Amino acid sequence: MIDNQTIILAIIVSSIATYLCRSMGVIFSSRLKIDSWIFDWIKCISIGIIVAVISKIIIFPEGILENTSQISRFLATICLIITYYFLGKNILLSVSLGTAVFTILNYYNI
Amino acid sequence: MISSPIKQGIKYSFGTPAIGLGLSMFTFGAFLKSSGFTIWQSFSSTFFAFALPGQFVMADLLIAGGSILNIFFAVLLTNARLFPMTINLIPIIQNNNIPKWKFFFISHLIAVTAWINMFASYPNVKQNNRFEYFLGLGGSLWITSILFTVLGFICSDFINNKILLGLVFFNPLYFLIMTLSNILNRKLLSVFILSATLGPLLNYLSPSWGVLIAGFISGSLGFFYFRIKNDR
Repeated sequence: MIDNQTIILAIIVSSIATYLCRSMGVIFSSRLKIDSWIFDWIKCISIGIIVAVISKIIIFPEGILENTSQISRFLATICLIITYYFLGKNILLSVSLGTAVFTILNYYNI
Repeated sequence: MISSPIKQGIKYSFGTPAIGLGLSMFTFGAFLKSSGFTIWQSFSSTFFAFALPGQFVMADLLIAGGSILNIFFAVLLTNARLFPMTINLIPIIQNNNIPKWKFFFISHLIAVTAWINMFASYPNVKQNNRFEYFLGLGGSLWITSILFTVLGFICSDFINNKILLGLVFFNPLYFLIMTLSNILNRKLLSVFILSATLGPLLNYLSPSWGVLIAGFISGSLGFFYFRIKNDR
């Protein structure tokens, strides 16, 4: 078991690290205009990072998802994309079906 | 009395965004209980360090026996995506009537779910109302996250572990489909394809920096390619 003091310290330092990223963003955004090319460039980078995070979670997950099978994550993702484009772009329905596929496959250790 | 743009933002967050984030936070709360956290520590984690991937990294490193300095840098790297995301979002909600310090407070609500949904909905909101609208949208997602972390902590003993594991995948699938639904031109599509390919590849070479480098390279390549092409 981890001792209480270490947990509290970990929460404090992770809060500081997280807020540092956001507050630096506020400082750097002060002169940025919505219609400037830099704004558009940073949007492309933000989307690039978000996509890289998602693909990492699906292909090389860390933490609790590490114990799930690669095939279950792939099939759930394929199911998500197919149902999204073929069932009227319904986000809740496609994500729920994808999650259901993932849960069932892992439930039966596939 | 809650103003109308705030209500509008709250209303937009209810439904899939809140369910997606809520389910992941629920699993996170259950995970913290099994890792030896108390209910107050679980509450504080989402209250103060709100950004799920970083929260998972913090808990994973604690379990693995990582040092406090190690946790700080790992969370900083994991959450570094919030830096460009914040640079991008603040000009959208910018309003000369709002004092600068308030932006430092509202930035705490910037996370992937709120960011994607803000980008999907802000063109329909008047510039002067966007700050309050985001306060409603991001604030309700933050409160939902805190409530579901605590709920997950409380309910963890009654739910099968394999079902809990399934719930945690709801959020990445939701991120993926929300990102896809926001890809409205060939430039963003090229960023998407490049990053989905480079992300795992660079992550394999450098697990700490791979995601950030992949995002930077694919975002820059996609952007400058189309900028040069359109200039011709």
